[in-house]
Amino acid sequence: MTLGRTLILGSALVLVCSVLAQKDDRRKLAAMDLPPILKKAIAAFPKLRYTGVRIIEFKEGPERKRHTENVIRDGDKSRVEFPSTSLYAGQIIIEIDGKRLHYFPAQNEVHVLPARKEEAFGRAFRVLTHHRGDPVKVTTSAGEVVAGHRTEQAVISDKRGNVIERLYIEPSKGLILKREIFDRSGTSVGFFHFTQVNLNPRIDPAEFTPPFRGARRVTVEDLARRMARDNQMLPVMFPKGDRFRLEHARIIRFGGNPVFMQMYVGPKGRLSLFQTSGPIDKDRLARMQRGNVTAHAWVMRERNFVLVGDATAEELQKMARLLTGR
Amino acid sequence: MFDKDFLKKMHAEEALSSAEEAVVDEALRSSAQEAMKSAVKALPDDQPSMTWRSELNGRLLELGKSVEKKRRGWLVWRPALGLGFAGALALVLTLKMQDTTIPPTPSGPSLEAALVDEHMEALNATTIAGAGLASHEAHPTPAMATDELYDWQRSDVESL
Repeated sequence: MTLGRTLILGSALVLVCSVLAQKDDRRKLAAMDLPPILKKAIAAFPKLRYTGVRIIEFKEGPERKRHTENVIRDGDKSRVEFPSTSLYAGQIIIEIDGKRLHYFPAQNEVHVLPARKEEAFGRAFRVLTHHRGDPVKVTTSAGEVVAGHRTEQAVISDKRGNVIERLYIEPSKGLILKREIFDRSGTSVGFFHFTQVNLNPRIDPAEFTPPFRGARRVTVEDLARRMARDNQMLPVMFPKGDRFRLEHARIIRFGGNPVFMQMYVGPKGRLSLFQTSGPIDKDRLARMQRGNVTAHAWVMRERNFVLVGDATAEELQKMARLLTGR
Repeated sequence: MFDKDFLKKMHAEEALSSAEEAVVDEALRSSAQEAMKSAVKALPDDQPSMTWRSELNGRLLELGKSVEKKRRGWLVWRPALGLGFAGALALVLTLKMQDTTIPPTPSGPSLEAALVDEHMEALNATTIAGAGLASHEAHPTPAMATDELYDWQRSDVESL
């Protein structure tokens, strides 16, 4: 067997394992005692077919950023484009065969990343099953009209009644037309809602054929190594395999100094690995932990590392020992 | 011959009348004047010696050189001293300004808080966006001409 074929088979195995893990979450959710509308949304998710326009808003620090997307979805395949007036006009995101292909026209690059669609229920699963010691409550009621469709509202709250998530689900197809998530203080940290939707679309399969011939293909690992090199960071990463899947990497500026961030999907959900030249105060870091999210810091080769994730400190310490490039 | 008024007039260099001028001319032609004239003419002509002259010239030259040296020195040192003084003054003023404009310790989030916040925001963004564009991958497209798109095959995807 050639090296190329081995690598392709290995990558396929990694993707299959991760998709199965996420499907496992969805199966576990479906088996839980949940309101019927939520169970319908979970069951319908892999087979949904629709086209539509949706608005997404995120909270970043004190700012709120919003953009509009044109979406085509056919089961496990999806295509996202942006209006011509959008800041992101020209970019195309296609998810197919477990991969996410994000095309940037200015650089003529296609960033190859793991598909993210299945993650839609990851948070709900963690909230419903991993809320340590804190039982959550799920209630339903008639929802508002979204994109011209009647909805049913499912509200997930903590034991004190603080809303964690609101979902507005179209009852005939089980499509979530509006979703809003909140932090522990009850502040909305992001939402999406459809402004137009066609639940019985005619979809051309060619929509999911990436039109990027001639574009340079860059994997997320390539991007991470490039960022590390350009910012004089160590190329420390989790080994590529079935346990940790690198989802994205970027450089954050804090006080003008670069911090190298990598986000992985791991056995305990998403993990962030930070690398910085600035010192980390472990006591202060311990005080910053919130809810199920903990952090572990250490120094290696004169660089400071922090691992943040939904795991205990001991589990994070064990994971830290798996890092390569040390 | 010369009375007081006449002498006063001559001393003040006032204009003399023609009669007064004639008196002066006669006095100049007197025997005493002629004798004095001859005595002065007979005095020896005292010329400075060449040796003395050359010594004098030498001393004058040296004096000139040292003056020139001092003058040139001042041409360099005066501006340098001026610049140095201005620089020192600027430094003092700058240090004083820095002392007064150093901002107080920032009361913004610590690095530790920022890292945990980044993790939470990325987590939320991925949850909300699903297959769409999450905030951490939202890089605006620079204004450019539309690229021509080519056809790919499914096998191209599988080979990635």
